[in-house]
Amino acid sequence: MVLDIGKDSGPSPKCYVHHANLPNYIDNAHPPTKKDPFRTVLEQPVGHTLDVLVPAQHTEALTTLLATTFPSPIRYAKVHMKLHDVLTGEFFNDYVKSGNVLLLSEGRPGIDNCVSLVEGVLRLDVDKPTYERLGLEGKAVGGMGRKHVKARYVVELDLRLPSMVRGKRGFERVLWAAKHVLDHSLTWLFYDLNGGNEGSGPIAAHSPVVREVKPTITPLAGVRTSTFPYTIGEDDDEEAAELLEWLTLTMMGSPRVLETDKVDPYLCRYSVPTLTADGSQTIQDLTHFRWHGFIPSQVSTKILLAALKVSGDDWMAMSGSAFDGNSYTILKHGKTVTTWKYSD
Amino acid sequence: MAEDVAMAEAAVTAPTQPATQTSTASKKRVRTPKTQTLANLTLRNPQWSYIHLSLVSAKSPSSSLEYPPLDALTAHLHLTSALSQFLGLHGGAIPIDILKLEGQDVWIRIPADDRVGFVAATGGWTGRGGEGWRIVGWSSWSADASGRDGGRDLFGD
Repeated sequence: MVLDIGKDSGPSPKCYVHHANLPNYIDNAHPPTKKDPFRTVLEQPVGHTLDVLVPAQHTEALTTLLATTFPSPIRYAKVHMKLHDVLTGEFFNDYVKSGNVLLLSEGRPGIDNCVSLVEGVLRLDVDKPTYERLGLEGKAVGGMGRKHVKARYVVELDLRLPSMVRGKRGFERVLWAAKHVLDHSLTWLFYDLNGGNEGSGPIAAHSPVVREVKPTITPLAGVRTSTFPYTIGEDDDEEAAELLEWLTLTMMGSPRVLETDKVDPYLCRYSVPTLTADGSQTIQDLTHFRWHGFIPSQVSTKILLAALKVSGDDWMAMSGSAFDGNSYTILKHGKTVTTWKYSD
Repeated sequence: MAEDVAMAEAAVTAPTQPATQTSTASKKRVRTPKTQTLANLTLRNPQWSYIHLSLVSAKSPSSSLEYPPLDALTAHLHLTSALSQFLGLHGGAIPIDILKLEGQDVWIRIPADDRVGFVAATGGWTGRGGEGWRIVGWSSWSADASGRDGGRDLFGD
């Protein structure tokens, strides 16, 4: 940097790379939860985009397997309602107390007031003026004493606690806050983990818009692919970053990774990395699957299992992005798996 | 004499003791960990910043459909012009790699250190025809650069 423009005051972005052996045996009915890559997928309760990359010869097998894995299409609902509607009546009893639903309200995380519900835990991410009016106990997040960054507060309430019922003081305070402070009608995304998500049940009172999540399948012909390194060592930072760059470029459908690409180096100097000592590259036909919607980790895990199964000894990659800017990318190659976790 | 016996006993017992130890050790099941972590890395200093931009024209949105899709040379020209206008020679020297083009959208890669200057430069630029750049998203790691706003469209119609 020659000039003093653009001193980035924020925390330096980090990317966590984990390289491990794949579990020897994976039970499809009960996939492991504490081992990578499954742990990484489950850490993100809900995402908006899921990408899967497989060599083209496995496309048929994957589409067939996905059709049997998901006999009914993946659906979610978009509803307009108030926070108060979530905490009262049938919705509260059937979905929050006894059922298991995922809810996310509109708003940019870190800027607007956001409300989410995961595993019965209501999370209110609010700015300082709202927090002071809420009258609920929370903790300060972000900012960390930096200039020009306003402190924000997060209130987390476990609504499944026995004390969280009508008439108890703690719960009445939550209701009061929902009625007097966070009283705006919001757009929510809704997924019922126990139901078929057809828009029936207590949600029907709020006239939901039910949407289907269908994969967009794009064939990628003639992709220049580097031979994947057999192992990634503790100080192979550059290889790990280059591999992630290549994976994300391929998933976004960039022509720069194609064999036919003849771009002038003045416009783009990117070249597909050579990651092994012999510097070999292969030309492969790949298929890209993209799901875009309100995708819970349970669905992502099923898709990952299907992709792992069809790829066999071949390689596969998967990438997921969440609403709060957290993303992960998984590359399975041979008997090893590499995961990248990063936040934007 | 007593010493000799003790010595002999010790000689007899000495080799047997490790033998029993090894036999008990071999009886224990040796479990190999199912998932072996091979390496854990933390990438700290990203080399690049990936930015997703959209060229916004001054004309009404309905006529924007008639615009020809952006080509790499025009995009590069517009971006370099914005950079040299705001940062002078230094701005003109920022290397821009064009990763993808789609309609009026362009995905680029620049050195991570130049991101803040780049964002300021493109934000303030207006072209001869009244067009301007809008930054849709940026990322330090993912070339997709969808950032935090990737899921915004789900809340709309």
